[in-house]
Amino acid sequence: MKTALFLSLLVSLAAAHESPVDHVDREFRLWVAEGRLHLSYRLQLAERAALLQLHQMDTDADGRISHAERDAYFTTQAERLGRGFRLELAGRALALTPSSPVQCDARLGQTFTFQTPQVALAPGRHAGRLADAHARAYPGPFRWVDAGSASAGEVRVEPVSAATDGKRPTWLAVKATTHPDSLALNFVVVIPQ
Amino acid sequence: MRPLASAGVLLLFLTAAVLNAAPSDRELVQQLVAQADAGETPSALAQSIGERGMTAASVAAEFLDERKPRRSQLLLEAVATAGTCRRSHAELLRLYHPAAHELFHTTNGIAGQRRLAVALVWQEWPAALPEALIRAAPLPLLDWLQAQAASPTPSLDKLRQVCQPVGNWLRARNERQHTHAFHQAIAALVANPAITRDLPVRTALLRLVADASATGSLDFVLQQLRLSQPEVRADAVVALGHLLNPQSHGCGRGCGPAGLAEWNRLAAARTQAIEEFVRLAGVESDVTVQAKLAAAAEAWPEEARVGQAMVELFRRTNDAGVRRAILFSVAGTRWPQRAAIILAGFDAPADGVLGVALQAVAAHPLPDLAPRTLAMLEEFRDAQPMLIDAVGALANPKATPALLRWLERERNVAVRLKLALALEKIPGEASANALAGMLAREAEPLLGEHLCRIASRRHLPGAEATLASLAEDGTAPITVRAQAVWALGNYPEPPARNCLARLRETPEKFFPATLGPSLTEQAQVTIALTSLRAHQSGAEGEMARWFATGSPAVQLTCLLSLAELKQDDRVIEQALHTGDFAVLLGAVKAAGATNPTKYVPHLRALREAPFVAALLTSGLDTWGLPAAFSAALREGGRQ
Repeated sequence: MKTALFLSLLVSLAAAHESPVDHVDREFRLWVAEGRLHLSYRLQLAERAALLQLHQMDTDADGRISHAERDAYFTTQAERLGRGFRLELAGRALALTPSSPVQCDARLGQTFTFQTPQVALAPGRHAGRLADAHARAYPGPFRWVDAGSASAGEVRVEPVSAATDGKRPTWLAVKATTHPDSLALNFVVVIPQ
Repeated sequence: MRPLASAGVLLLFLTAAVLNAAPSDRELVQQLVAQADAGETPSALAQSIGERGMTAASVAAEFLDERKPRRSQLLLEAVATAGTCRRSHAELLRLYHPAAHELFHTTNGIAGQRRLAVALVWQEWPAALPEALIRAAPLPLLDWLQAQAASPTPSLDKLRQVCQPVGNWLRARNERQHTHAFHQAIAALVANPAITRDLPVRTALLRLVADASATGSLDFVLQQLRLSQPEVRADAVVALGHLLNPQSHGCGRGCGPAGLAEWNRLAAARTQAIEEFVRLAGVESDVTVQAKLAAAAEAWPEEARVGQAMVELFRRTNDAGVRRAILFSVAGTRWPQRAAIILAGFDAPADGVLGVALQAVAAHPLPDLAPRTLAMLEEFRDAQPMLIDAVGALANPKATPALLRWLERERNVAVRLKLALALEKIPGEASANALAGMLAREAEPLLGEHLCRIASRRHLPGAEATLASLAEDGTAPITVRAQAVWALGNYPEPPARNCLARLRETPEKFFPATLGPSLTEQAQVTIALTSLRAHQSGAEGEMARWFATGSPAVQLTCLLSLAELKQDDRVIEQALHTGDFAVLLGAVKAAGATNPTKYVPHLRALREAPFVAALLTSGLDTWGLPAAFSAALREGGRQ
C-alpha cells in the first residue's frame, strides 16, 4: 500500500512488475548471556538488492569484492543498523553495538549480532521493547526466532503479542508503532528466582 | 511409514530437540531417503533440503540410486532447487554461498558436478533430472549434449526431455557462464541428421534455438521453412519470430557493451533471414503457417519488404485469423504500409478484424486513417471501446460530440475511463469542459483518481475548485486526495494556491496522525513536491530535506517528480551514488528527463560498473532500467 500510493501518484505501473522498492525478510533472535542482552538480526535480501550492495562494496570497481572491501562495508552497515535500534529494558534505554562479524548465508541472508552493556536485573519479568528504524525504509515480513527454549530455571527472553489465549507465538506479527520511524518488537526478559 | 523408519526419524528429531540443534544436511537427506523408500512423497522436505543450498544438494547426490526411482526423483528435486543459485553472479556466490561458488566457478567443482549428474547414464531418467542438470551440473550436461550430437544413435527420448528445461533457463537469462557452450552444443545437435529426422525432437530443437537466442543455428531454422510438412514450417516460423524479435531477448542496447553486442548479432541474423521469410510469406498456402508468419513479421518492425509481404498476404488470404494476426503485428511495427493494411482491415471487418484494426489505429493514429475512423462514430449508438481508443489517439475534435453522447449513457466504469482518457487527448473547449464536469461529479474512486491525473496533465477550466475540495476532504479516498494535491500544482488560480498554502501550513489538520505514520508522511511529501511544482518559496529546500531523511519510496517519489517537472536538482546527483534499486531507477529517469547532457559521464560509468552491468543483463525484474539508461544517454547525445 505504502509504495503503491506513492507510485500511483506519478507513474503508470506495469501490472507485471513487483515493487521497485526492495523488501527485506527479517529474523530477530534475543537472548541473555553474561549479563548482557544479545540480538541476532538476520536480513534476507532480494537478489537485486544484493547485487547493488556489491556495487557499493566494490570501491575500486574491479568487479571483485576483496576481504577488505567486504569487511569495511559490513562494519559500516552494522554500525548504521545499531544506531537505528531503540532498545528499552526495564524502563532503561540501552545501546546495541555490533559484537561479531556479519555471517552471510546461502539464501542471501546477512546475520548481524549486537549486544548491550551489562545490565543487572532482579528476579522477575522485565518488559522490553526493540524498535528498528531500518524497517521503516525497507519493508518486509518479520519473524521472532526462539533463541532456545530454556528451562524454567534459566534466564530467557519471551516475545509478547496481543494474543490472549496464552499460546506462545512462533510467528510474531510486528505492528507498526505510532512512532513514525520504526517498527517495534515487544518482549519480556524473565529472570528466575 | 514402516515402524522402524518412524522410530528412527522420531529419534532423530528428539535428539535434535534435546541438543537444541537443527538437523544437519545429512540427517535431513537421510530422513527423505527413509520416507521415500517407505513409499511416501516428502516433496516439502525435498524443497527444504534444496533451500539449504549446494552443500545439502551434494549430500543428496550421494544417495542417488538407479534402483530407487522414487527416492532419486525427490533427491533430484532438491538438487534442482539448490541449483537455482547458479543464476546468481559469481561474486554473490563467493560471498554468500562459497560451496556453490566452488562448484560452479572453479576447476575444483567439476568433480562435484559429475557426482550430481550421475543419473545421466541411467537407462531411465527421473523426471527431475533435466532441471537438476541445467541448474546444478551444466558441464556434464554440455558433455552429454555434445556426445549426443556426435552419436549415430542418439538418445532421442532424453533429448526431448532436456530441451525445454534448458530453453527455459536460457530464455530467463539465468545462464551467466556457458551461453556460448550451449550455443555450440545446439549447433552440433541440429547438424546431426540422426537427431533432426525425429519430428518431435526437431520441434523441440527449434524451440530451444529460439529460447537460447542461438543465432548460430539460424540456418537450421531457415532450412525447416522449405520442408513439405506444414506443421514443421509452422514451428520453424514461430521459432524464427521468437529468435529474431527485438523484444524477445534481454535488454538490447540499453545494457551497455554486452547488450549492444547481442543486439548487433540479432540484427545481423534478421538481415540474413529476411529473404527466406519474405519468400515464404509470398507462397505459403497453409492457414496455420500464414498466421504464424503474420505474428513473426514483428521481428522486422522497420523493414518495408516485410510490410509489403504482409499487405500481399492480407489480400491473398480469406482467413480472419490471419488478418487479425497481421493487424496485431502492425500495431507493433513502423512499416510504411501500415495505413494500407489497417484500411484493408476496415474493408474486411468481420470476425473481429475491425476491432484489431482499430487497435492498430490507436497505436498508429495516422492522418490517412482519420476520415474512415471518425465516420464509424455515427454507426454505433453505444460506446465501442476500441473505437474510443482509436479516436482518442487521432486527437481530432470532430470525435468529441460522439464521445460526449456515449459518456452521457455509459455506466460501465472501465468504459467511462476510456472515454475520459480519449477526451484528454482531444484539444478544444468541449473536451476540457466535459472532463472538468466528470471531475466534479464522479464518485467512483478509480475514475476519480484518473480524472485528477488528467487534471494534472491538462489544465481544465474550473477544476481548481474541485481539486482543492478533494485535497482537503478527509472522507475522500487517500489515493484520490494524493492525486488531487499533485494536480493543484498545475493550477495558478487562487483557489488552488490558497488550498496548497493551507495544506502546507497545517498538513496535520488535513492528514492527521490517525491515518498512520506512513500515510501521513506520504501526504506531507506530496504536499512538498506539489509546492515545488507550483514554484513556491522554500519548496526546493523542503523537498531536499524529505529526500535526505526519506525511505527509498520517498526518494523515488521525489526523483520521479523531478523527472515529470523536468527540473534538475542536486539530489539527482546524490541519488546516482545510491545502493538502492528504487532510488537508482528514479535517479536515472530523472537524469534523463531533466539534464541528460550533464549526466552522461556519470550514467555511462554507472551502466558499465561491473555489478550494475550484471544487474542490467540479468533476468531479474529491473523495471525498464536498461531502457531508462538507453533513453537518458541517447538524450544526452551519446550512446
